[in-house]
Amino acid sequence: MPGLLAVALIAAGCQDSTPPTALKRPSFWGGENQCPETKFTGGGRIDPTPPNSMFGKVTFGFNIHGATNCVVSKGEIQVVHHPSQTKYHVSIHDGTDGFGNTPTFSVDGTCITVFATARVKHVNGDWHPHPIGMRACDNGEPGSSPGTGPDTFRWKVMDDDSFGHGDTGETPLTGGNIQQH
Amino acid sequence: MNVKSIHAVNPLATLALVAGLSAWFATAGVAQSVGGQAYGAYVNTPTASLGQSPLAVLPAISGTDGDIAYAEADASGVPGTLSSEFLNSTTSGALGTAEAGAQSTATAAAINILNGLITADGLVANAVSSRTASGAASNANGSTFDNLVVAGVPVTAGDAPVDPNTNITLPGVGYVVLNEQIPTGDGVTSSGMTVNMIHVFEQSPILGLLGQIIGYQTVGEIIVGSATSSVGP
Repeated sequence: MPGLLAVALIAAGCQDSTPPTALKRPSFWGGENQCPETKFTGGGRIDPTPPNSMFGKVTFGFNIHGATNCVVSKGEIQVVHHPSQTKYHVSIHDGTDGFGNTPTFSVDGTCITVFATARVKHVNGDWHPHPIGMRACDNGEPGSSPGTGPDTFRWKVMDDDSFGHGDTGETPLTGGNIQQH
Repeated sequence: MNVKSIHAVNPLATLALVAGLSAWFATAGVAQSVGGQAYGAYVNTPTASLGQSPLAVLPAISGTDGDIAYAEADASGVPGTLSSEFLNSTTSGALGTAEAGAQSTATAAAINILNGLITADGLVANAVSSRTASGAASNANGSTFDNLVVAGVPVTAGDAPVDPNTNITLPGVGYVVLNEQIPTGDGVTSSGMTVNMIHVFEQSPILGLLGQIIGYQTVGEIIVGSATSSVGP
């Protein structure tokens, strides 16, 4: 479970006295490793295309509060991958997600990256957990122009690349808005 | 020293300064309220009824916390009038120091209205409102239909938008408005948007004294895919 390991490593790194700039992050996220107290809210739609492993219509909404120790203190994330009729939901209260794990975050510029555990449901199947990564960038107003962007959203299932899972890549919004506040 | 400085200021000048600053903040500040809701389906006709479902309503927001609401359903409808599947409604919003915004999304799949009169593989309703120091604005970007067919005529092939407020007559039923967009606000301190992707108006004729048709009246409504967002002073 490399995703869970990454979450555990980040959580451990954030809670000790190591300066934030020394935190280890998965290479695909990039950016500076910082975790100032922050709040991000957003929602809308992206339409990632191949070669991203999760492609097609994706809608989402989220509200994230990050504390100074790199832990997401509270938040909700809702993501739907429509081609596979897959729903993802993350619910965070008092720094803990619904599976007893500690969700973590970092901020670089106007972007936030979150690692947590989501409960997942395919069509009418049973809910089950997957470690996920979310990245959202507030690049200007309005967040979605008649074309796409400038705001971007990325959703990655850390331990599964099969249909309905995978990685959307950092994709400009087709509709919606992301707000750093 | 500070006390002496305050007493040295002309009271009228102070009042003028306060009034000026208040006016500037009223113009340049961001919204003090945001709102949003989304739902997948609604039916209110003489023969069928279904409340807005699944309905997500943005809670009242104060401070800069932001919030989100969501609702979902595997299926929703009324036999013979509407069937739909995989419905998801989400709305979120926040009051920031530089920007206030709300955004709502409603989605539905496998839509069948009035026994095949209108069908679609799916739809997305998106509404966004935001206010910054430069003004308030809303849009419905990203609102699309997937393989929409109305009265046997394909309207979209694959996933595609339809022009806002597209009106199509439904003989014997009434008419349908596709991508119905209802803007609100002054565009300066407030702005809002409601988008109803499919809005069917069932109508019946109004008869004159001699039995002739002198007009039509709406007797029922069916809505699939509705998203609303707003920002206000």
